[in-house]
Amino acid sequence: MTDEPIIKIENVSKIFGGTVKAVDNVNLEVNRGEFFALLGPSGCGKTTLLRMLAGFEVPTHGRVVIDGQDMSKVAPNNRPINMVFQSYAVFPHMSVEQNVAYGLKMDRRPAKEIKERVAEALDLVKLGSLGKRMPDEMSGGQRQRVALARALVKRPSVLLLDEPLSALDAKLREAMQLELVRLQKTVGITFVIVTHDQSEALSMANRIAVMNAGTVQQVAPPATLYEVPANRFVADFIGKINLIEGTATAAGEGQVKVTAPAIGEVTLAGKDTGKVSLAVRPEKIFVAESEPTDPKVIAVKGKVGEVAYFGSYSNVFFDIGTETPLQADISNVTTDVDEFTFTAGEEYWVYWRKADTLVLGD
Amino acid sequence: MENWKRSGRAFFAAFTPPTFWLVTFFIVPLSLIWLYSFSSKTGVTEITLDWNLGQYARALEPLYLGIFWKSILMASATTAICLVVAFPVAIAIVFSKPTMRMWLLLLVILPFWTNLLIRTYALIAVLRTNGFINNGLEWIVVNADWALSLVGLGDNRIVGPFEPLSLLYNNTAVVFGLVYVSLPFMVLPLYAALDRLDRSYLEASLDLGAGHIRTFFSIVVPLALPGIASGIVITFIPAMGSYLTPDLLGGTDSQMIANVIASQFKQANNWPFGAALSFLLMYATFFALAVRAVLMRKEGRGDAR
Repeated sequence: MTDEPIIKIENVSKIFGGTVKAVDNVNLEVNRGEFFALLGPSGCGKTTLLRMLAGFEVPTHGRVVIDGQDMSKVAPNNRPINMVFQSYAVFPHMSVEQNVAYGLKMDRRPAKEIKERVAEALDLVKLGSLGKRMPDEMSGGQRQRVALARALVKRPSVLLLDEPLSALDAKLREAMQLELVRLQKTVGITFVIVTHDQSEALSMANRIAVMNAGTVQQVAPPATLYEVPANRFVADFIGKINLIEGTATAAGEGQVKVTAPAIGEVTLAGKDTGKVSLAVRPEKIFVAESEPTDPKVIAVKGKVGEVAYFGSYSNVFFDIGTETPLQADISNVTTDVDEFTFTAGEEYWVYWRKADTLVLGD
Repeated sequence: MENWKRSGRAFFAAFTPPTFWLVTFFIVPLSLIWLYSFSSKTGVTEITLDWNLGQYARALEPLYLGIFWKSILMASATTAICLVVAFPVAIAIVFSKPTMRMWLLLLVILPFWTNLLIRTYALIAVLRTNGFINNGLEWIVVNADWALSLVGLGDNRIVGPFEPLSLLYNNTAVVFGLVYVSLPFMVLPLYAALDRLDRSYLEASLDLGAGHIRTFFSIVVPLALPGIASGIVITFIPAMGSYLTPDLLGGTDSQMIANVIASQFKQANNWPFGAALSFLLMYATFFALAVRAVLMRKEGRGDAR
């Protein structure tokens, strides 16, 4: 094993019909053995990028290198890659075993080896006893396992998964998330998953590339992505966030002075200047009856608007004079109901730590 | 639909005219012909229904069985050629751009807008001794000879004198004509089946290491089997019963069963025997449909989902 990334996407663009830029000059590296996610809204180019890895689309510009080999001239059937399709694409006219054996037969492996590897792959996805079944006798979740076994049995360098969980119901999806992570650890193969579901990406992947309009916005581990988003798009796309408009001027090493109508003037860590947004996550906001004195926080007066109770926390909207109200997730830490009952119209001090405030340029 | 059953009058109003039409103009004449097939010819125009099986016995004599067999062979050859020709056409249409696809389908359907008789005469103009193909070939031979004469090799020494090919009035001409007429019937069901086929099956096959040819035979053909079966049946049945094409393009030995039936009703004026032959043809057709039904049931799960 080398430290060389297993996938290198170099300056790759894909233009459809001469004008539509589906993927726009993307550079990405996926490390060996990694669980990598391509995350973004629909139409952001993530599926096109995945299909270029599989070879079903040819990059208009740039190149894809897999396992040190330039894939520009390599057909899909000769790539060291296998894919789990969104629709699973389990061949309906073949039994489970025949489906899983298909790829090995194409490689002309000896019959004995095929038999052993198929059984092994089916055990891996816990379908050991269902080899003789036909796909139309199986549930969606089981068919997905067939698709997984069929791809993994070929021992590819990289397994691509295109929205693998989108067709499953909520409960099964959660179980399958854990299952995929377990599977990835067991087989040690690099997984590249495409998803539009941020919770899926956050819970499963080691690293995530957030895409929008054909470009990569940020590549980072889940926690970094959530806590330190690189720009407004990422901040807004991942989780809930409050964005307060303001203007920033440079104020010394790694510091900016931000003036925002809603909160006045404050000096924060950051480097973007000009028109900026102050971003703060709802769960990092606290509420007090009187003005907090701690100089490390930003505090403003807010009037309670809508309140939604979620059991473990309440999602409370405060009018602080900005266009969209400030939302705060207040943990319901006591059993004393009065303690956390917010009534519309009440005034509180809302505050959050300066350190939890991000200054994001456009 | 359920409302129909409840309001009986509306159902009756909508149901009666087509039923009446079918009974009067299809069931009744067909029944009459069926009765003829068990009758005897007792005069120039008199036919007596005496429930004898003599007409069927005669229809199964080697002479007529031979013609039946020949019809089956010609229809099979037509169907096989259609299948081989239509598959690439259907694939090309399915994989073309949506705007292009409409025009290609139109081209496939276009011959239907012209009368079969006119199309068949047009084919004669192409195939006859003095037709387009022979004239074209002659032009090539003559000019090749002229070109060779420039280097002193003329006077038909290399290419030989042109002999027109006999392309018309033989079995090949009949099969050629039948293929030409039947091709849309094969292309359209194949197109429908392939269009329904989820592309990700093909991509999955490629992804698993199969080449395009393996993918075609292991994935496309089995999954398109219902369409293939439909295409075979709706090509085979009309080809089997075709009358005009063998009549106009065929030679003396190219008679198919429909020509024999027609001659029994017309020249021979033997309606009972013609009726018996007709019904034998119909039984054969039903048999073909039954085979298809079995095939479809077996491969029903091959339907793209």
